[in-house]
Amino acid sequence: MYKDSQFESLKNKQSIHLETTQYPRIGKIKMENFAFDNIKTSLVKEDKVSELPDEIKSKIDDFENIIVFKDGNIIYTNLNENFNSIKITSLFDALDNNDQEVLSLLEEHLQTLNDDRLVTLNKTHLNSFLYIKVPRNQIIKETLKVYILGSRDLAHMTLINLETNSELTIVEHLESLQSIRFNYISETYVKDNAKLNYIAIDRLSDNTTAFIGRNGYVQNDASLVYALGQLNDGNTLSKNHIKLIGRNSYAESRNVLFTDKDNTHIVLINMEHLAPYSVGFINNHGIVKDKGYLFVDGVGKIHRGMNGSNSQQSTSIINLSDEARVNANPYLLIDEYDVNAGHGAAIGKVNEDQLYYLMSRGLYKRDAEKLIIFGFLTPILELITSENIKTSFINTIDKKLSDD
Amino acid sequence: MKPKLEIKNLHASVEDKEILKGVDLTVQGGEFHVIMGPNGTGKSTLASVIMGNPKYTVTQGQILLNDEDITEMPVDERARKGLFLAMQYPQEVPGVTNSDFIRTAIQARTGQTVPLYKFIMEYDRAIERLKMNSDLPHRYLNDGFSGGEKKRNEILQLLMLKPNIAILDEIDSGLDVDALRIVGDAVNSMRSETFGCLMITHYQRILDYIKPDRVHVMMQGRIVKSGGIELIEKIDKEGYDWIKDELGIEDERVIIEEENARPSLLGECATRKALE
Ligand SMILES: Nc1ncnc2c1ncn2[C@@H]1O[C@H](COP(=O)(O)OP(=O)(O)OP(=O)(O)O)[C@@H](O)[C@H]1O
Ligand SMILES: [Mg+2]
Repeated sequence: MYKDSQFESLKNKQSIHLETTQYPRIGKIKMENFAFDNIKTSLVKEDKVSELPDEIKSKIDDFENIIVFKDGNIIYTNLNENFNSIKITSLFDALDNNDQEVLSLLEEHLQTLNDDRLVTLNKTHLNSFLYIKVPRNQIIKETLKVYILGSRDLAHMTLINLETNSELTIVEHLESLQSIRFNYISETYVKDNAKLNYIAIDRLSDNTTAFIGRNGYVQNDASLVYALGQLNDGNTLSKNHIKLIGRNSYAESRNVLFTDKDNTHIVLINMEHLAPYSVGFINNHGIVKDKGYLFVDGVGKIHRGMNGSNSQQSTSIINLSDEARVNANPYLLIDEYDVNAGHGAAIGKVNEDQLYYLMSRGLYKRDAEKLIIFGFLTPILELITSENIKTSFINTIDKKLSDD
Repeated sequence: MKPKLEIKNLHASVEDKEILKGVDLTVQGGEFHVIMGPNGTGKSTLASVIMGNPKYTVTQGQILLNDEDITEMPVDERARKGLFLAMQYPQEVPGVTNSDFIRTAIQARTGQTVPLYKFIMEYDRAIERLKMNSDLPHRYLNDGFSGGEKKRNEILQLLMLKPNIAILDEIDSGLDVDALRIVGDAVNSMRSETFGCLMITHYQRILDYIKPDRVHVMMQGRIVKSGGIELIEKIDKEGYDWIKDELGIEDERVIIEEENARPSLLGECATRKALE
């Protein structure tokens, strides 16, 4: 058991701050019901394994160039030499090696106070930390796959640094091995002229309540493309906040949102233009089923003086059931006149004319619906670079569609 | 077995408006029938009702396919029984590739999985035959297709699905001369004892490639005249007036706008003016 006194005292400070912070107010949803506060974490060190146990193998779709991160430990790595230049470190590694670069970043993170209760909870209970850095001028052509698994309550933070002129594509999976509380944040820095494709597939199991916050900071001429697949089987609050802080910065937030059974999924996306000539796209494709409740708020905000910026947002949601509910609000907050902006939201059933056309060729209704739904998701599926992961993603949705 | 489609005293409506007002027609394997008629006389509606478009309600009469009553059968089941409709306005379905779609359709129709290699060979051959672009399998279903491309894609599906009874709704509209010949030849090549066809058209041109056995004229939601190929030639030269005269029809359309809608609106305006 680790007892790094400095680390613990920083977390303690956060726990005092917790007494004054509140949950975000989201429509009429009672955030208290999610019981995020019940999280109980501990720091448990695990050894690396040379062979993954079957229970974990079954969660993995692609074994090439992967890191398996379980309960705060890197338990398995299989990376080829193209990844030699990237730094990948866990909290335990940093403490063991007294890695000042990482520890000081972590210290800085834990010292900062945040108004959001969920972030403060994360800092108070932090027991899982992953650091990924791509140094200057390093262009990684292959895709890095990171599996973040939890078998106990997790307060996890991923910190990603893409230094100037670097490039990376990362696929991040969140999976729970038990019913747990999962409080996750990632902080992603894309420095000047760097480029990050960030594909995240959240597939947390039944009864796992999750807070997932992903923040991105995009500097001059840099690009950050998020493709998020939110397929959790439990209640989820998911936030994606992108700050375009550099001139000519570019970001996309493309999301597939699937809400079924009696789950509530709250998705808040914020594209903040803090520099001139910044470009941001929000694009949501949602499917709701059974008694699911999907709440999507998208905000495109252009601050004063950020001329030449472009903020676009679109949301379309297919509702497959009479009992499911959807609430989608696209907002544009613009404080500058020399900009380009647009937004829209559409909620509806599967297009009946399309359905009739496919069925008129003999397709069973269920197959026709599936084709149309996957067609609807295509713009996001196209961003998934690994064929294995794409197939598994499609299978997960296929299974959700087939479940009655 | 020779397929047979029988339509008996078919009445159908949409939103409480009756559009088909008693259609009788029989098409058997080996036969090509043509339906002509002015705009808005119910031709496409007849095609849709035979296929089973849920927008329309059959209020009277029967549709039989191979002696089985299919009047209440859902559209997909009719298709699997060998019925096919090439639509006047084919739907666009973005995100669904032509090849995924047609392969799923063949599997549904035959109840068997189609070996991928065999499918690709056959699909490529049909695409070439219709002189379509070789990237077609990977393009999305009718998405961004030109009018002519959509029509050809309907015929491509016809070739792949090999139905027993096909209805072709204005498959010749919007085709250039070359495309017309390609499509005409393709349809004609289907002619056999196990294939019957009902073609809706406004033009004689397609009939240079396909010789019909029977010609029917539709007006006011009914077949008002039937005959042989000479009927088409006469319509092409003289139009429809002589048929209307012969039958004493004044307005051939199914739905005639109500004349008094306008005055009541004017009246309202006048009242408002007066109040101001
Ligand atoms: N779904 C519908 N809803 C409302 N009206 C309809 C519908 N379908 C057909 N109609 C009406 O029924 C009438 C017949 O239409 P239909 O499309 O069958 O004509 P058509 O003979 O195929 O004409 P065209 O030669 O122009 O293709 C028209 O007045 C049309 O507006
Ligand atoms: Mg028509």
